Amino acid sequence: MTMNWIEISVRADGEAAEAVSELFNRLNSRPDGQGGAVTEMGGFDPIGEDHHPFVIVKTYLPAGEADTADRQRQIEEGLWYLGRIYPLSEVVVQPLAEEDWANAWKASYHPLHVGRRFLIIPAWQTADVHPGADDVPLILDPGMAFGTGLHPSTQLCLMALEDVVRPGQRVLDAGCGSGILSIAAARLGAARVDAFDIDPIAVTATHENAALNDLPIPIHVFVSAGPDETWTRGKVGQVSNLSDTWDVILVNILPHVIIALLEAGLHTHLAPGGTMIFAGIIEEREPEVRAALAEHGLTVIRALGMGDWVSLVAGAS
Amino acid sequence: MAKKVKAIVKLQIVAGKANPAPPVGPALGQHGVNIMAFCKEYNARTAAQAGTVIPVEITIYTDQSFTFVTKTPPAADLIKQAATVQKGSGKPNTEKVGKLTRKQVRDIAELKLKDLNAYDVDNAMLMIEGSARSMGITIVD
Repeated sequence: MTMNWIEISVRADGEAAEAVSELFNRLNSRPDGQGGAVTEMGGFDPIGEDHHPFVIVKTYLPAGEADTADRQRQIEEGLWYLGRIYPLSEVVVQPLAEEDWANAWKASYHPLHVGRRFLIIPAWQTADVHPGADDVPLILDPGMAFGTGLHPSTQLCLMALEDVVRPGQRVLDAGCGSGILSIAAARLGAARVDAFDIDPIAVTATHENAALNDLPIPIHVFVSAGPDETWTRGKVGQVSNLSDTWDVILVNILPHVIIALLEAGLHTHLAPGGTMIFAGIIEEREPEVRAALAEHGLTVIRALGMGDWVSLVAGAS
Repeated sequence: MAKKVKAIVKLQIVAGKANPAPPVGPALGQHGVNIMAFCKEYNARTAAQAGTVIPVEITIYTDQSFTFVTKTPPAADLIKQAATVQKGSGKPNTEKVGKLTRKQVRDIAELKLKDLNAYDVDNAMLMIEGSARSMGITIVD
């Protein structure tokens, strides 16, 4: 279902922008404190140095909710009063559909080589891209799921996979996102790939992306938060003959989730001699993850880094 | 050659909770930024402060790449947290809703110092006291 929004924006500067932000934050923050004002400085001349910076302050209201009209009225009233004190532009109120912004980044998403052989191809460009004989193509439409292949943590995982996965192995992708890593594992000759994600959007995306790639094996994907009772439900409900151990377990999430999954016993599903690949680790939290790995009897074999991000390849001690 | 700036966007997001819904989605998506990449990065950097509102300033370049810096939480949020009140007073001159000790004011001032136009902590404390008073919160010794 596509959600529609109403964008209210006004051009202001300096002190006026502060006052408008304060108004939007006060009248239109969600209960958790998020939302409110978005301040945008634009007008930078990308060619010369002839800048004419301006500030636009915006806020977003969900269209069609019970109190939306009321809140919109309060905001417009508040802006009218502020307009008596500060010079403000005319208030612009416009409807905004999710597709207006959700896909804008696609324009700058191009085929990309990662690691030694992977070639990530946006799904809408397959007709124009002709992979070479040595390329391992990964066709992807990430949609709103994570894993476009552009992020360092995804790239580090792909590089680690290239070295780790051998034909015939069983692979588990924990937190599969767009499914990019599962697809890569299947392309590298894995005999079986299972994948799960806590987010149903990601599970659907993985299904769809797997279908785009015409893979030699199916990817078994289910909604789960990890190896606990939800995991079991995933097994019974959606995946038949789910493996109990895997030769390679991939975890490209975030440090606190990695630690929680280890506490839930994810590593106990590693086959003897198996390898775990951890990513999504921002440099400053690497020691925390390393400590958790050591605590759960895992030895780091290799560490890869890119920008501020770190990936750890580990085996059972 | 330095990258060309297209826009600078400032917004407030709860630490560790960025997602593609507004305000994040449209604020960044309209400039062609990869929204999920931003969310993952913001959440990774702020996970330790989960629950606090953290303002973030995102610089978007003409090639759609971005960098961002997180700022200290808004003074009003820190004051409400320290005084354990839900919201400030609508009539701060007559209706008082809570109290802050000078020690609490100093803690907030020290935390906010790098984002305030203050020369030193004493100067920053005056600003925090002012914000607190305008919310109907009195300062006690």
